[in-house]
Amino acid sequence: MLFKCLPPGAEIPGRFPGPVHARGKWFTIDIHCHLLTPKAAEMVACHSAATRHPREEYANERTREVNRQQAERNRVQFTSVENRLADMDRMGIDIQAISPSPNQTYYGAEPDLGIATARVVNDNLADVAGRYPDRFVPLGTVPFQAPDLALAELDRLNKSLGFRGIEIATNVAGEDFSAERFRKVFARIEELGLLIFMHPTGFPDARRFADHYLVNVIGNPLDTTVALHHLIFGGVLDDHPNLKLVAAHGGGYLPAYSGRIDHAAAARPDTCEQIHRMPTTYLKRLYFDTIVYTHQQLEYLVGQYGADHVLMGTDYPADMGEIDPIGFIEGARGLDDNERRAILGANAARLLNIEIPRRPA
Amino acid sequence: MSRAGEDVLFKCLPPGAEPQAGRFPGPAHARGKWFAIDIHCHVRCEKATAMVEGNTAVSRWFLETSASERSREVNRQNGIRTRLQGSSPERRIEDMDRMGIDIQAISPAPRQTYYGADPDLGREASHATNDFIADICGRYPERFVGLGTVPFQAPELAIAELERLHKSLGFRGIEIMTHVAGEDLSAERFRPIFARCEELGLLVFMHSDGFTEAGRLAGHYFNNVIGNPLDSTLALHHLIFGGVLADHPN
Repeated sequence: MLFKCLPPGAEIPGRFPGPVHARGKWFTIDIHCHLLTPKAAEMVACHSAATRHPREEYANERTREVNRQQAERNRVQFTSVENRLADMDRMGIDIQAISPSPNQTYYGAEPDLGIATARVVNDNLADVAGRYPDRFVPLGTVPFQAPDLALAELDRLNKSLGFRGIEIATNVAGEDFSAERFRKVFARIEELGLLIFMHPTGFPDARRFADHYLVNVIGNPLDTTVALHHLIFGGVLDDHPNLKLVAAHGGGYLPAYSGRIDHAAAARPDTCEQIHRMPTTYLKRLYFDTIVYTHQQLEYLVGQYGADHVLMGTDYPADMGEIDPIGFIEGARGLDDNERRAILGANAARLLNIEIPRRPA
Repeated sequence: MSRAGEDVLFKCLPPGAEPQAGRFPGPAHARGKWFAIDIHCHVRCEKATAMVEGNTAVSRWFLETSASERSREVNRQNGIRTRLQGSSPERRIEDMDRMGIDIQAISPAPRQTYYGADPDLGREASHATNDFIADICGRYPERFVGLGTVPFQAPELAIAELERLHKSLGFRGIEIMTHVAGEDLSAERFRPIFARCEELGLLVFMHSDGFTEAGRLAGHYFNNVIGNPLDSTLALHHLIFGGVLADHPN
């Protein structure tokens, strides 16, 4: 069944909110869902470097048109807290670990603008979480492009706002996370014990990705793949063994094809000059969300990396998301209920230090 | 830089030392237990290499141009080390015997598709490579099957070479790259080639040559480690979403 145009108002498959699940059966935390901060968007409106985004840049006319329609359609879901709570109630989600809309990391902005927008985004997240502390846990953003300012904002969001994690993109305006100047940011994140949710912002060199929305379809898992390779081979994960990093979209292509990195490290001296262990040793320390669309892939992730390394996500409210996360995980016949419980909420609770509420007897 | 008790990453071993990851030939397996055909293995045609020598627009390949200096150095060493294995069928048969391979479906070294060459040079290089492969298969017909190459950059010449390699040389397949000098395989002008491949019932073996926009893949040999599977991924998406596989189901 391919996409079909339906009359306005008709239920379109793949649109949030998904099917109904009662809350209470499982304790559920959505690790992958986004909130848009309109005020930050206004601040960068005239700054093309800050708003440069492969998803728009490498899109044919048809895709831009679809993007415009989608943005209009889900604007309320991206911004309204009450609408969001109604959707969560319907879908059986107890807590959303809300992160900024991925293009709101604004790593391309000048340092001053970068810190200003990060503050506004973080304050908005803090406000939402403050109003509904039992329903939202915020994952903030810091201006990686200016490491010293990023450090200051890390301290503020952790100490003043009480955040237990941040979202990062998969490159810093084209620069990879293994660059020396970012090391102190990772060191501080490790020290503070913050969770990192890594979310791609498309692939920046996407000349060949303009058709068929490939800039997202391939570009997103690809950029996660590239970023994970740089974090591993560039020695970041070797130097910071206690980083708690969740990679979006099941970690992209790497977890399914990880044999290639160990082979490379054994076969070529130019691959492994900044690491001390086989590359998959580092990969196995990471966490992956469940946005992989097939049970086969979900069960593969669990089999290979452990049920304690897989976290339920939806990508709410985006159209590439998983609208029935509970049904998806319940339907995976290769999993048992302990594994389902871990994936649906217990892992995220552990990593984010969230107390799992006791069930009424 | 290695610490005691850590995993075995790449180590420099003395020449002639026992098998190392990624060095052919691998461990011994007797032939006869299975009937074994290797669908992915390459030969290097020195004559075609000589034809493009000095023509950097053609001889350059993404794996080379995008690599760090360190990787180029390793590539050079590997090139010297594997030269005989790339070009000598006798040496190749020795390795196949040891590894238990009955038949190799030999295809050109990926860079030897030379899709960046102008049409005439492309055709001539294809001729030379296909003739070289045909010669090896003719000398050891029970051990080698040829997968040829055609100059995709010039579709009419490619179709002519398809006919020749199939009808005159008896090839039952070709190797193609994952893009044609940067142009994706779903472009309209390549359709007649795929139509003809389908008609002739040829097998298409698709092999990548790194990724074209590999600015972030220079270190750690990433344009092979990531770039090769990436470019295959991208090419398959274009073949699927661009309708090539819908139009040519066979």
